Amino acid sequence: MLVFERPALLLLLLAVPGLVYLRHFWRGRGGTFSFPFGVWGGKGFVPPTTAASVFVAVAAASFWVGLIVLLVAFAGPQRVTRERSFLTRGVDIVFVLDQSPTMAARDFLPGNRFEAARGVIRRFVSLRENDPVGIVGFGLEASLRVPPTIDYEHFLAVLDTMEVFEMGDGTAIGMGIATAALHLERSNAPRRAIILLTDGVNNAGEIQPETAARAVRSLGINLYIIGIGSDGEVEIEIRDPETGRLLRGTIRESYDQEAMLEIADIAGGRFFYAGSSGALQAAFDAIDTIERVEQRSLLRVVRQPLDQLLIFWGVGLIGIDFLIRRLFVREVV
Amino acid sequence: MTVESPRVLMGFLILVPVIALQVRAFLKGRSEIALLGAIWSHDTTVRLYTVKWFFSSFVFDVFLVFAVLAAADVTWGERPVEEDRSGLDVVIALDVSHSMLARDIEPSRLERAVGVVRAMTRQLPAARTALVAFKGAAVTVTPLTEDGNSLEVVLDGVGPGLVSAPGTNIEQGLSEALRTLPEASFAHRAIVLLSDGEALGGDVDGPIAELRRRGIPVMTVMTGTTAGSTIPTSDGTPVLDRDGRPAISRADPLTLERIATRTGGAFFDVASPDLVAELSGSLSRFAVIRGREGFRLVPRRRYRLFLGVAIVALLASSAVRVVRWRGIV
Repeated sequence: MLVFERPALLLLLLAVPGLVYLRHFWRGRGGTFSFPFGVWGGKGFVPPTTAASVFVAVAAASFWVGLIVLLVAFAGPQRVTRERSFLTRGVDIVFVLDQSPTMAARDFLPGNRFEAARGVIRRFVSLRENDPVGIVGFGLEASLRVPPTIDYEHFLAVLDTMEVFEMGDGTAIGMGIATAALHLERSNAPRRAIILLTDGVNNAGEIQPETAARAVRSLGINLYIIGIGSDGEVEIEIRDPETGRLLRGTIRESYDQEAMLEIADIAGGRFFYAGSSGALQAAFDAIDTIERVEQRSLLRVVRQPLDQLLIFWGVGLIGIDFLIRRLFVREVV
Repeated sequence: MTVESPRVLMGFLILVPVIALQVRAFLKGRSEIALLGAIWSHDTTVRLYTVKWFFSSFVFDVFLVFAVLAAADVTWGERPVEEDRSGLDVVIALDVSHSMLARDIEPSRLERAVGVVRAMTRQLPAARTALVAFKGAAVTVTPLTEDGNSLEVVLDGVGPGLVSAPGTNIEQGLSEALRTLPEASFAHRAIVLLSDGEALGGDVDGPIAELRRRGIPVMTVMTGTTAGSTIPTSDGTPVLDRDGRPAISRADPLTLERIATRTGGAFFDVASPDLVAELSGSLSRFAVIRGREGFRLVPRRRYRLFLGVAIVALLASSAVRVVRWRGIV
């Protein structure tokens, strides 16, 4: 929204038509002289349109528009935006995302499991305003990619760079959960949650998922496990990060639902089965509903001055008038 | 008195071609009056023409001078604005350029800076921190977070390899630090800049103006000595200059002092024995004092004064041509 610091100064614009009259139409103005030229009883002399007259018209238009712009700048134009500051602490949420090769299985068309997971995470985060979000990626090992932060732009930029297979060939579910728990340990948020997305069975890492789940429970963190992938044979297409070769085939591997339910039970959390894009979205919607806290916020008015920009424009237009009069038109006085 | 956009003052250079064009127009106009003949070549007319030209040109030049001053955003005095915040968000902007490998500060400028960051963040456990590394470009290594563990981990891997763009661009570092501080944050906001100040590119005036507008102070820590030292390469030999002699990197306190002073922050020397206590104390005091007072002082802008004179001069320049002097021209 555009507002003016001193709107009364805009009244100066009312003087512009009078000034235009005095400069261009008043018969007694300087820089002109009158002489009779015409046929008795006929039409008066009408000067022809020449390049010079066009230049004069453009120069005059530039001058007056430039003056108007400067007068508007004089009134102190400001762009006003409302900035929302939160007075309360949001929910800390850390995603634990499986990056093992099987996440490239194409049963979430048009993409694969990993792309589907990334899509729902992106949508989930876009609906948050003051909830710090972080992400842990895991394969053969686990690593914190983004600590819990409200810098969503940074979070989404990192999420977009994450790829299947970059954490090695393995599924270290326990390490993933433990890493997320470690980085939520000191958080003083009213609610803390870990959302694990995996399609496999724990087969790597030094920490067993059950151990990590106990730690999560003892820290009072909510654990949500989403099992991604459909039953049956699925096409897979993946590029080997070391050789760059594109590998194609089919897999019949799936997560161990019993084990997942047990981990969720130990942690006091919930398990969601997501065999399709719709089910995956539904799982996230359910978590989104649960992991909400009441937030109090404050609306702040932020004023961005625009006068400097207008002064540049105004001076530029006056400069066009000056250049035309001095370079293209042989103005004597 | 402070000029918020000093680069705009370069606009005064435009007076040179403008005055040249005015003189050229005068000389041409005078000869053309002579060509018109009769009364137009009369001495009185030429004198009148000269006087009109002088006034018209002079007030137009006055218009340009004051328009440039208005655009340069001259300020003096201060006014209070409400600042209802609590808590503290700190972005650490860390110079990771090759000059930070110099060893005039033991074990090296960079290692000492990393040590300062570690110690400072431990003394500010309630603050949210972010780490921005910069060289010729800047990257957010850790976004604003309460998770002190993540900062500890990334500090282990800090080095010139974090950023590929060569050089030292403090402007980029400050701009990225500003981006990292969310507008929606309710906390007080501050930046800690650790650098040798030896800037090879960029212009810090842009970020300084924005930092002043948003009330974000920059605490600068000069990480190096003015005497300087050579910069070791990976094999231990010093970096050479264009003449093949060992290049000496010297810390530049002027840039860092200017950034701190203009933004309402403070300047520190890494060689100070109580640096960490002073730095973290300064940050804590800033948050406490501003939180208690509930307002901050912002510079009082005076552009309208200059723009008013500029507009009057512009109209006078035009009026000189409109008014018929002695009924002739």
